[in-house]
Amino acid sequence: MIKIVQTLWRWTSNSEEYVAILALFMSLGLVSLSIVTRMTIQYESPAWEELARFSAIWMYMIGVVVVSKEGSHLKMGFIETRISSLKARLALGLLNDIVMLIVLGIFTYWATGDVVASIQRGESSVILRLGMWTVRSSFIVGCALSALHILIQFIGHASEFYGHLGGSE
Amino acid sequence: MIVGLFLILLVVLIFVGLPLFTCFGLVLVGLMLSFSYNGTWVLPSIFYVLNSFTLLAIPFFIFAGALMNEAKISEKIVNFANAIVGGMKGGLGAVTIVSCGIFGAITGSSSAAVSAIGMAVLPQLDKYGYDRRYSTALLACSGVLGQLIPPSLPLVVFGMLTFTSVAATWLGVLFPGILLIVFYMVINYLKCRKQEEIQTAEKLSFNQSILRVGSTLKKGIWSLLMPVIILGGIYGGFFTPTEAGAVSVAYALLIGFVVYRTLTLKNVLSSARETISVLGAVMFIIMIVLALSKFFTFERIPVLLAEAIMDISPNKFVILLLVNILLLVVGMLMDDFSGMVIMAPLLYPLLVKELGMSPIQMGVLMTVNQGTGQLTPPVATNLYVAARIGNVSVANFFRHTLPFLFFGNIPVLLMVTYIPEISLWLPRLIYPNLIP
Repeated sequence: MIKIVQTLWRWTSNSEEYVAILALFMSLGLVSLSIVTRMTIQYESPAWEELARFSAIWMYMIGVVVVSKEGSHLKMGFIETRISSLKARLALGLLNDIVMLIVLGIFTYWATGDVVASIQRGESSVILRLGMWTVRSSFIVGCALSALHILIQFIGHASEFYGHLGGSE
Repeated sequence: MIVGLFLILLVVLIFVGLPLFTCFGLVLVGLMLSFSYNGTWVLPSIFYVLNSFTLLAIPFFIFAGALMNEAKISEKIVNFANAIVGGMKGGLGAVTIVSCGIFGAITGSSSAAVSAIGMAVLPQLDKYGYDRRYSTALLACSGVLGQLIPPSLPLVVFGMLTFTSVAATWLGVLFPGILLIVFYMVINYLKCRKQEEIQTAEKLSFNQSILRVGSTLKKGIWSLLMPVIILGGIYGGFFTPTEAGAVSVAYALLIGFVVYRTLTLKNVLSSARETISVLGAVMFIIMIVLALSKFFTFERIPVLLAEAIMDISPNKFVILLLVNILLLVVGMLMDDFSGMVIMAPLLYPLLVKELGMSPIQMGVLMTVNQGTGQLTPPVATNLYVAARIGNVSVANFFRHTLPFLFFGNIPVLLMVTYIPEISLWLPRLIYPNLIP
């Protein structure tokens, strides 16, 4: 069972970037198609624009996951760079992880509520009549997967921190 | 009072070094708990803004910039700039400035300009005797031009939030961008004039110079045509700013694969990966700041801020000065996108409704101000990117940025603030019906 979960996680983790790249190319392709058909046969479909916007939202959210995996969220690092003690730096890293988990947890909760409300209201898109939950669920996926990556990093940081505590004792 | 305390907490959290999205997220959650808000409005309000066609310009231009970087076009831009301004004293410094301006006209991003142009010019600057600390500072400052010369990405966010024409604001920021180039070139000339160790490229006769300009233009024509196609397409009415982003990606792919043959499929994938990474980092902050900004609107903070500033002085001159100081402080603490998202809705009622400023001038003022924020620590993206490229610590070269800040950025900012025509004459010329 654990092996299946591990394989599934590895597969998900590896495919995140490609999903985001696919979404980028999809929105790019749709906008380009719109320009070409407008200039050549004077035709453009609003459905393409709608689809481009929706795939962009998925791209933004999977982008958040990729950044969480890389641990490259923007931060000032003003104090972090001035801390010379490795233990203090590790402790600050742990604090970072915990706060990130809290914020991502709250956003996942809000996103879930938003998707449920969207399904209950029977919201659909203006042109393609797509259920809006298909787009809004990108927030759940983005925040939840980011939280999972941070959790894994947290476990790694925690064991490193305790390793150093043990070393000093 | 409570909002003020939370803003102080925000500053503390940013200083502690927590990722920016968590700083804003914690403050948002704290404010919502303090004011007994539930979270049902947060995601819908974020979704409403993200589901915007205009916003798509940001990933497209970032991707185009990454592709152009991979296609090694920066070298061709530098050679062309060198042929034009390289012959005078401090010529290579001027080349850095002009190259960043040209690169900005392709990517719309300041950090992209710093890293792409920096890698091409820094070794040359060393060779010609420039102090590495000075050349790194010059590079960091010139990078600001990346976001002032259209397409300017922070103005995409501004246009989307305030329902202002992005194309018109881009025109508005073009002249201040050119002014900044001129100011920087003068400062660079005055700095280099008396420095014996700085060498100048060999003097060429007029005919030789023309030949050199012609030959570098011929070699770099495809990359130099890109801004012409983008801006010509937008202002010729052929496509919107977002579509221009898609066109610039297509153009970058075309010249990278067909003309220069420097792009490979692997490069394209790594550029796409880089784009996703930049977007992920920026977009999540934008989302949370959007919610925070919405909360401020619910609590009438923009109106209260306008009243508070007008209570200090009813004088328009003083109010604008205070607004600029406030924006400079925000620019020291936030990246340009977050600063724009949080401050544009806050200041709109004061500047546009109370003082009667044109939204275009407001956008330009904010962009020039936020550009200055890229050079003012602790949050100063350009300084950090330049420090990495130049291999010099920020503390070592920061003082060399001060002349550019005080005699370049600040004067241009004041001109944009107090002389509306600086940012309005060009949009008025192209869109006479848009601006009275």
